[in-house]
Amino acid sequence: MTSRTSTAESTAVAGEQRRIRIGSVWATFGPLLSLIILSLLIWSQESVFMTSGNWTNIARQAALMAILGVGMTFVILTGGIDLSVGSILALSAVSGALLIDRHGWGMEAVLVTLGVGMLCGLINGLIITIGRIPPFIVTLGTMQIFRGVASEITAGEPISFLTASVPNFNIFGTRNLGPFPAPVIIAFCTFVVGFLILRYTRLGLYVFAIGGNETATRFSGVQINRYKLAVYTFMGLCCGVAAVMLSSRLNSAKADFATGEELNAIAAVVIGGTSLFGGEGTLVGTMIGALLMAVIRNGLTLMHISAFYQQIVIGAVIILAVLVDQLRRRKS
Amino acid sequence: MTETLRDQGAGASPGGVQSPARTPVLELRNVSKRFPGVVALDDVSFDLFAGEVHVLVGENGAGKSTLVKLLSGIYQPDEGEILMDGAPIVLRDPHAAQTHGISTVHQELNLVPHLDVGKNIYLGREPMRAGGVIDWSALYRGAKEQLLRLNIGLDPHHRVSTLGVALQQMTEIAKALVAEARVLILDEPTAAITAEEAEQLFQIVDLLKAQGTAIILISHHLEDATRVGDRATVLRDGRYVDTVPMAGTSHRDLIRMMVGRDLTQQYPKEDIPIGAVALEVDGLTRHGVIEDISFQVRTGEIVALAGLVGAGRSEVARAIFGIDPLDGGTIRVAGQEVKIGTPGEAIESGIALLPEDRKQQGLVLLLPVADNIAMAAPGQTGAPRGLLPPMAKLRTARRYIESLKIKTPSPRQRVMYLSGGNQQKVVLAKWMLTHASIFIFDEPTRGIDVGAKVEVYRLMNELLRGGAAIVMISSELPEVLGMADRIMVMREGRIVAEFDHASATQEAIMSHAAAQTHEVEEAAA
Repeated sequence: MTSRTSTAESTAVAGEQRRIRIGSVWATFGPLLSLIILSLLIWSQESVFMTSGNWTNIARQAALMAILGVGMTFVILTGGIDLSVGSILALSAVSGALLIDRHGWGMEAVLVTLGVGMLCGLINGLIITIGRIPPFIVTLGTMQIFRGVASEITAGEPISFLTASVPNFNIFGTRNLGPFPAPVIIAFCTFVVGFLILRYTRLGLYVFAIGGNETATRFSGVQINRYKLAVYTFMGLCCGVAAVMLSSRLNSAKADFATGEELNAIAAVVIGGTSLFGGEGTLVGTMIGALLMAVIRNGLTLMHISAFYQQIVIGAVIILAVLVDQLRRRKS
Repeated sequence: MTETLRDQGAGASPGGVQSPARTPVLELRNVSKRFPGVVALDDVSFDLFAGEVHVLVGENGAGKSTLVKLLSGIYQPDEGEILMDGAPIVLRDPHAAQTHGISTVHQELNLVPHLDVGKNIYLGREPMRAGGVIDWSALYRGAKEQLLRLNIGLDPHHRVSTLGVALQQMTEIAKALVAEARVLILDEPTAAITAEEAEQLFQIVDLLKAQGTAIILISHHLEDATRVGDRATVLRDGRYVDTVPMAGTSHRDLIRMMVGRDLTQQYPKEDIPIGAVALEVDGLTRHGVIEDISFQVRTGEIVALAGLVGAGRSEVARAIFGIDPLDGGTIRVAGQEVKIGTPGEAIESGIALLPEDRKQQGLVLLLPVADNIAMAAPGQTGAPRGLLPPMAKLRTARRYIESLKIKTPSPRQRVMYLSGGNQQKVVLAKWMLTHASIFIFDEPTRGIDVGAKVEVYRLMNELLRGGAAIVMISSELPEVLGMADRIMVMREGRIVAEFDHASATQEAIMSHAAAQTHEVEEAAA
C-alpha cells in the first residue's frame, strides 16, 4: 500500500468509526431518552407520578415483561421468535399450583414450575432444530398446545389460596427486600444472569453469531443446534421464573394466565432496539423497553385515560420505536 | 505469459479514438462526493460517447462504485455536474436515471426470482390493453424479441430463480433495452460467471455497442477491459488518474496507475522445503457432485484445484470439511484416517476452510473483529471452558491484528467496515487460532485489491514456512500458475489432469478444464 492509500483508508475507517459510535450510543440512549422525556411529561401533568410509591408500582408492572424480555432477547438475537411464552408461563404456573393444592407439596413445587418451563422451552427447541421448522410456526403451534394442556389439567378452574397450604408462597410476589418489591429483585437477577451470559460466555457469542450469519457460524465448527436448544430452554426457564412470581403475587394460578404476554415481551425487546432479524441488540435496551411500556400504561392511567386509548398509544409506540431505529440505520 | 499475448491480441477494436467534435452522451464534470470523514470522489471528470465501451478501473475503495451510484441516481454529487448530450441533468433517484436512459446492471442483480423472465423484463413497463389489463401476449412477444436482439434463445416463460447468474444478467440487460437505455452500466458483470459465459456476455456488449449504446464497464479483471474496452479511466483513492485508450495500454501500465507504483512481484512464490504428507484424500465421492477424488498435499506445499465454476472444486472442499456428507472415500491427516462428519470434527483434525463467499460463509459481518477471530476456537484464547470474557477475546485479537497487519481501528470494529483484504485476514486469523495444519483456501483473493492480494500470498508463504499444507481453489489462472506447486484440474466432478509448477500453462489447464477445447481458444483470442 502506498502511504496515500493507507491515509485515505484510515480516514475512511475513522469516519466509519465515528458514525458507528454515534449509532450505537443512540441505539442504547434513544429509548432511555424517550423514557426520561416521557416521564418528565407525565410528571408535569400528574405530580403523583414522581413518588417512590408510584415508581415501585411501575417497576412491579415492568417486572413481568422484563423477565420474559430477557429470554426473548436471546431468542430474537438468534433470529428466532417465541410466541408460546404466555402459554408456557400458564402451564408451569398451574403445574406448581396443582402439586401444592392437590398433592400437598411445599415450596419444592417452585422447582417444578421452573422445570416445566424449561421442559416446554426444550420441546420448542427440539422441534425447531430437529424438525427444521421456522420458530414462528413451531411456537404458534405450541402456544395453543401448552395453553390447552394447562386448561385440561385444571379443568379451566383457577387454583386459589396457595398460601393456605404453603404460607410462605407469597414471598416471590408480595414481599419487599428493603425498598424493593420481590418481583423487581427477581427481574433484576434475571437480567444480570442474562447479561453475564451474553457478555462472558461462548453461548453469548454464538447467540449473536447465529443471528448475524448462521452459515458462517456453522462453517466455524459451532454446533448450532445445541446452542439453539440452550436458548429456547433458557427462554422456558424465564417463563418459569415469571410463573413463580406471578402466581406468588396473585396467590393463585389459572390456565388463562399471561394471555398475550408474549406480544408485550416481544414489544419490549423491539422497543429496546434489538433487530428482529437477529444479530444485533442489547439486554439493557430490553429493560428500558419494558420500563417504557409500564411508564406509558401507568401515566395514562394516572391521567384517567381509558384502557382503550392505552392500547392505541402502546401500539403507536412500538411502530415509532422501530421507525426511529430504521431511520438511524438508514443514515449509517 | 498468456496475459501479454492477450494484450496484443485484443483492444484493437475500432471506436477507441473519438472525434473531439462529438458531444459525449454522458459527462461528469469535476464531481466530488463526500461522506462523513471520507472523500469518496474528489474532483473527478469522466465522459462517455455513443457506441463505446468505457472501462472504469481502480482498486476497491478507489471510487468506482460511488461513481456508478452517482450515475444511477442512488447518490447525488456534492460538487460538480452531470451532463447528458451537453445539457446538465439532475438524477434525484434511480427512477430519474432510468427516465434519462441510464440503466445499471448491478453486481447484486435486481430481479424478482419467483417471476418469469418476461415479467421481469417488463416489470413496471407492462404493455396494457384498454381497461387496465396487462397484454400478456404482447409482453411475452416483446420479451422474446428483446432476447433475440441479444442473440439469446431463452424462453421468456422461464422462472428467473431457475436460471444461472449469466442468464439472469442477460435478463437484466434485456430489461435495460425495454427501458430504452442509451447508457448501460455493467458493474462487475464477470465476477460470478465462467469464462465461456463472460465471452457470451462480451459478444452482447459488442452487439449493443454497434447499435450505438454507450456502455460503462466496471471490472476487477483487466482481461475484460482488454477484451471489450475502447477507453479506460483509472481512479485511485477517489481521485482521477488518467483516461487512456485500451489499444496500446498493457495490464502492467493499468496496474501501475491503479496502485500508484510498479507491482514487481505479483506472485511472491518462495522456495519452501516440502515435507511429509499432511492430507491425503482417496476416492472421495458424492454422487452426482464429485467422483473418485484422490490427491495428497504435503507440508510446505500448495496444491491448487483449477477448473471452471461448477466443476466441483468447492464441493471437494465442503466434503473434506464435513459440510456435505460423503458417499465414499477416505480422508487421512498426517497418515491417520479420520472420520469427518461435521465442521467441528474437521477442525479437530487440524483442517481449516476459508470459504469462497467470505461475507456469507466466512464472517459474521455484524460482529466485531475480535468475536469473529474467537469463533472457531474460543478455548485457545485462554478462557476457561464455556466462558469467553471480553478481555481474552480482545487480547487474542490484538495479537493477530499485529501479526497479520489487519488494518482496523480496534478489535471492537465490526468486520463489515473492513476492506476485502482485511476481512480475509480476519478469517485467516480465526483459523490460525485453531492451530490448523491444513488450510483450504477457496478463492483466496476474490474481490480483493491488487495490493492486498500480494499480502494474502505472503501470508500463505508464512503458513507454509510454519509447516502447514495448503489446498487452493482458484478461478484466477495467473494466481494458480503463480502460487501453486502442483495443479489438479477438475471437470464435471473429476480430476482430469495434473501439472507441476514448471510444466503448467494457462492454455493447457483451460483445455482440460473445458470440455470443448476450441471454444476456449476462441475466448482467449
